[in-house]
Amino acid sequence: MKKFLYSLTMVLGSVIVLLYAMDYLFTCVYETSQPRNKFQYILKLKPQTIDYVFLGSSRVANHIATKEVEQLTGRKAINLGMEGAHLEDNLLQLKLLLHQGVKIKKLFLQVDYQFEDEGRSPIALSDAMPFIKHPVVKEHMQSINTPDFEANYYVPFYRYMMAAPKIGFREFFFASINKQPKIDPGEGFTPKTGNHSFGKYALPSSISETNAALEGIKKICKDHQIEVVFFCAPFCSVTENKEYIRELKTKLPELKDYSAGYEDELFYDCAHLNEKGALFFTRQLVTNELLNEEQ
Amino acid sequence: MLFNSLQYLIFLPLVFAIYWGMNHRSLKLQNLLLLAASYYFYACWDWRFLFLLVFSTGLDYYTGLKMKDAPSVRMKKFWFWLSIGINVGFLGIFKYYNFFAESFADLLSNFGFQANFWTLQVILPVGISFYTFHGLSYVIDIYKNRIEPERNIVDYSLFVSYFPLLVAGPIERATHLLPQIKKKRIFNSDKAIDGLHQIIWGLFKKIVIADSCATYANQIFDNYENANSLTLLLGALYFTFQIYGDFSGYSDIALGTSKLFGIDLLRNFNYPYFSRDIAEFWRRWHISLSSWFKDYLYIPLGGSQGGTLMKVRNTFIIFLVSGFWHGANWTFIVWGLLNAVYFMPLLLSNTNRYHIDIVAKGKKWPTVKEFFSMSLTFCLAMFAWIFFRAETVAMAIQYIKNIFLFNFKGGVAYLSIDRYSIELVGLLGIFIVFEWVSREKEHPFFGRFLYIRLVLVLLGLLLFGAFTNAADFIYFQF
Repeated sequence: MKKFLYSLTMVLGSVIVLLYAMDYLFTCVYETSQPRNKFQYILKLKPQTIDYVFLGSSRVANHIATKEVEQLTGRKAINLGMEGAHLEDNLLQLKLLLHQGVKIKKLFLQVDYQFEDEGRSPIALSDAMPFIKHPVVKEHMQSINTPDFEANYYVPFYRYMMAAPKIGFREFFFASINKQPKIDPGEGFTPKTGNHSFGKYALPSSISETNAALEGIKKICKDHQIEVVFFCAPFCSVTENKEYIRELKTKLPELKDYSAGYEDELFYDCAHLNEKGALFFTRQLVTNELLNEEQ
Repeated sequence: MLFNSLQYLIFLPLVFAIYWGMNHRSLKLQNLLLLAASYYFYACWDWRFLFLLVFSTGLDYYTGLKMKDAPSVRMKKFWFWLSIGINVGFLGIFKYYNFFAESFADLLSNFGFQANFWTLQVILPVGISFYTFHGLSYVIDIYKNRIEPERNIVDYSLFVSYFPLLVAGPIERATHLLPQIKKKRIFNSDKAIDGLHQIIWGLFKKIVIADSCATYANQIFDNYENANSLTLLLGALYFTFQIYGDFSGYSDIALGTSKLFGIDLLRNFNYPYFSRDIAEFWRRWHISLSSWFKDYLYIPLGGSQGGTLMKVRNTFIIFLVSGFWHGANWTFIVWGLLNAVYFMPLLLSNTNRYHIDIVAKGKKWPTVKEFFSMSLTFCLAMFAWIFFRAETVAMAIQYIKNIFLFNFKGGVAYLSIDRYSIELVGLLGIFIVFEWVSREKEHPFFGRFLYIRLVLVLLGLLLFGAFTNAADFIYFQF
């Protein structure tokens, strides 16, 4: 039995050593490498003032042409939209920006069907997992009862195993060789190309009373005197349950509604504009919410 | 309770510690513990089907004794056919009733008749095909006077329900497993260490190879209509490795687990993708099922004793039944028949037992001829797996047709999209090298570099394991 127990101990010992070593290596690489996603980018920001910050999901990442905003306004803008993000993830981004000493003059927050999504998005928040020991990330994940928080926080390498498609070996490898990401996270605009046939697409048929993350964002903006614009990006003409946006406006009267009135040829799919549509929408948003307002 | 679950990670050490904690005290207690653990293991899926398992066990135990004590041949036959009838009846009802009802209704509708047969709305009891075959082999062996019936109900129940093999085999024989159950077991460190290593290798095959391949194979098979030829080939390749990693990984964990308890199970896989012809492939793939069919169906049918026609007929029957055993779907039947067709040239030229030995035994590399033979056999197996994986025969045919459209536009989309894993193809290459190096052993952990290999595999498990999309073992559904 001694021989077996020795062998078992060697196996378990090897697993533990590997877990700690891999955890240390992965975390070091993500902390020190060139940013390849928007959480990494935020954590590399130096204290500064950014005039316009855009937060939301892919409906911000694909829609807001940051350079166009800067050209039209002559001010600094950043698109921090993340694919699959919920409002809770945007709240974390905002907290991190402020923690990094970034002063925001005006925040644009996309609000539409994610009003129904309470809690974190497993897709978007995976990018923040390497930084779980960061005090802001830790506090945020604890406050929203992230599933498996204890395991993610205390078990070495667990978070990298569970979020492997986003922060696993492949991403680690690219980060370690400082491979340039396809999209510069500093600009953040990820345009879609083409005009695909639209499948059936529907907005939620009912609306929640409130969204805790949205309230959190409102409170932070008020505390830090950040002007905030809530907006709803365009949907294609065949979208069902469009009355959802009307109901959303009863919950959020200050919502700027851009959900309708766009030609279908401007869409990549029903919820995402193509590059041409994104430029058109960006100009319209900037004109209405920035240029006209300043005049 | 899956072998690759946290639940099992707690269950196994607990049973192991109690089991060897009572060493030298009582074999009866050890067997009772294993039986209780096995029933708990099975009940974790669905406790209601435990009654079916207990009933099936009791039936075969009782009829086994009755056959032995039968006053006449007629009575012996009665008890034999009663057992066979009920066992096959259960299997037929749970596994095949809906298939026959629907197929018959379809057939009638082709002749203009409308028939709506009542279909069962029950899930298939996990492992039913496996434990039914355990029981059948036991009853047949008693009937043929090959073995004596087991009088100890605990020992017999353990033979049927032993948890490492309960849900997906290997399909054991009473002649192999029962003597081990009845023999006092002394802890053997070397065997236990070997078992531990085999479990690790099985987990690697399942979590790294099978589950990673499953992610992409599923996506490609689900969207086969829009995929080009190269992508479809990649889908078939991924599934070929998925099913091997899944089932042989399961078997490795089962064999390894059993070694921890001092019991050897029948080897189920012997590097089938290094086979030089399809006959060799079937001697190396799901060995316990192939040998079951050989002993209990092929040989009673006359085997290869008769003329050519008889051999051909028997071979087709074996592959047809083998396909049908896997599931109530025409896809499995076509898969079985296709393998029978592959087998025919070897059978007719009397070369089906040409490759008995391990390929390139004692050598580093295969010869060019061996390499091409292995590649051809692999391609044939991969082609047949398309039928196994497809949901319908029509889908499989369309999938194959699309491959032969030779549409290469767009390259292999699943390799060029950033999010999908090009490294998986590289990983499969490394996996093949590991398998090749260890083809004369049961797993790659042996010799001078044992510890280095072990650490590499553990590292691979942590780095490349598909932990978020862990799938059930494919063979649980059978």
